[in-house]
Amino acid sequence: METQVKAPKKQKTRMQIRKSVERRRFAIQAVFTILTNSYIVGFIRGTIYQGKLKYICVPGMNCYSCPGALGSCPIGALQAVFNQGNYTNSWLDPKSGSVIAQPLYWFAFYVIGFIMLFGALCGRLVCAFLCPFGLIQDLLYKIPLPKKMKIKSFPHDKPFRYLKYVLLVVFVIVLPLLYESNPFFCKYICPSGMLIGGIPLMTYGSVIGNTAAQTGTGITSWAEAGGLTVLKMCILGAIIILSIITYRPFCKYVCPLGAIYSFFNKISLYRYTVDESKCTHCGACNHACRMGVDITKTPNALECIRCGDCKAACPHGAICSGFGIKKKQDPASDVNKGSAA
Amino acid sequence: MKNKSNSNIVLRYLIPALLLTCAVGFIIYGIFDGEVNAVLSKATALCRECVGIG
Ligand code: SF4
Ligand code: SF4
Ligand code: SF4
Repeated sequence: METQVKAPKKQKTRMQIRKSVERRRFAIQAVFTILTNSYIVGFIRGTIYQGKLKYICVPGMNCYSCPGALGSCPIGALQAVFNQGNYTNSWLDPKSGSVIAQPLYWFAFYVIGFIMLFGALCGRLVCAFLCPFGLIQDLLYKIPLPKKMKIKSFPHDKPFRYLKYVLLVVFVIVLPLLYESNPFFCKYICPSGMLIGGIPLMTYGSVIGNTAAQTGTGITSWAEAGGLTVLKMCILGAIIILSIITYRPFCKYVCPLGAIYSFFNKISLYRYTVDESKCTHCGACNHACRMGVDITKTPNALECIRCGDCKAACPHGAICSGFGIKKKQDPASDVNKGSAA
Repeated sequence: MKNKSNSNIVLRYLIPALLLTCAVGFIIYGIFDGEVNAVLSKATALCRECVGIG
């Protein structure tokens, strides 16, 4: 009797595993971005969605002035609430006879509640999977350049990484609290608003018709562009060029939302773990990381966006991640069992 | 398995659980406080600052 010899199952190489992890992440990013920006009418008519879904804050940097946006940007919403901290409820105190004034909102409970919810669940996992501006930067980084010009992460850039915390405190919290109706980060810095809000709306305005009714609140066309537009276009241009050269410069140096989520990395439900009994300190994970994190030293570093590249690169299956104590076995471990990685 | 993080199971779950509870509490408080309306009104009126002409 003839015995059938089964052909050995072809093992995936390390590169194939990394590619498939990256493809899966890209698919999730794309689906989430499309779902949360699916107000087609906005794109057709050059308007924005004005329904009740905008009560809800989305997890990532998704401008609420994008024609397709269904939810609210947490950083824009935070500034909007802090801007109202200036409007005061005032009354006459009968005892002292003096007028007592109290800011309307001294703390942005609602918006911070949303940010805490996303942060406590998954920290900067939001950055890798659920942020449209992260996706845009990922796509820009895919644009080919001569190898010498691609720099995963600028060396000795650590001091510049603190810039995002300064911007968070100054432009998102302090200045909007001091000056009403002035969302400083949106107004003077945010390239996301310019890219997915400003450019399409001003362009639609000029193409579809220059009436306030058509665009919602009187935004008309590029004819309204002034010094601020030039400033924000310059920042956007710089971010685009830098994103082609290096991986996610906005996330590394500028984003105040990433800055907030970074504090949750160490305490969120979703965490990374390095199994020291398996780790040989070969450096493969460190080499794979485009955010400049050495996960073997700091598994839940502030800068880690939980992209999973290091996990896919580890030839020993030493890096695990997940919501529970028993971590999901990482894809590298099946290579461990005899692949040609 | 000797891990570099999450050695303490209680803290591993207690801190996120506390934060999640606070988060839900904050959101509910924000709804009753009217803060939610500040968010909606800003998000549904086209923001001139976002689009770079404000
Ligand atoms: S301009 Fe930027 S920060 Fe402001 S709402 Fe839009 S995306 Fe958010
Ligand atoms: S750092 Fe900011 S822009 Fe980058 S992915 Fe995170 S939330 Fe989005
Ligand atoms: S340490 Fe790993 S998960 Fe974190 S950013 Fe680097 S490659 Fe991605």
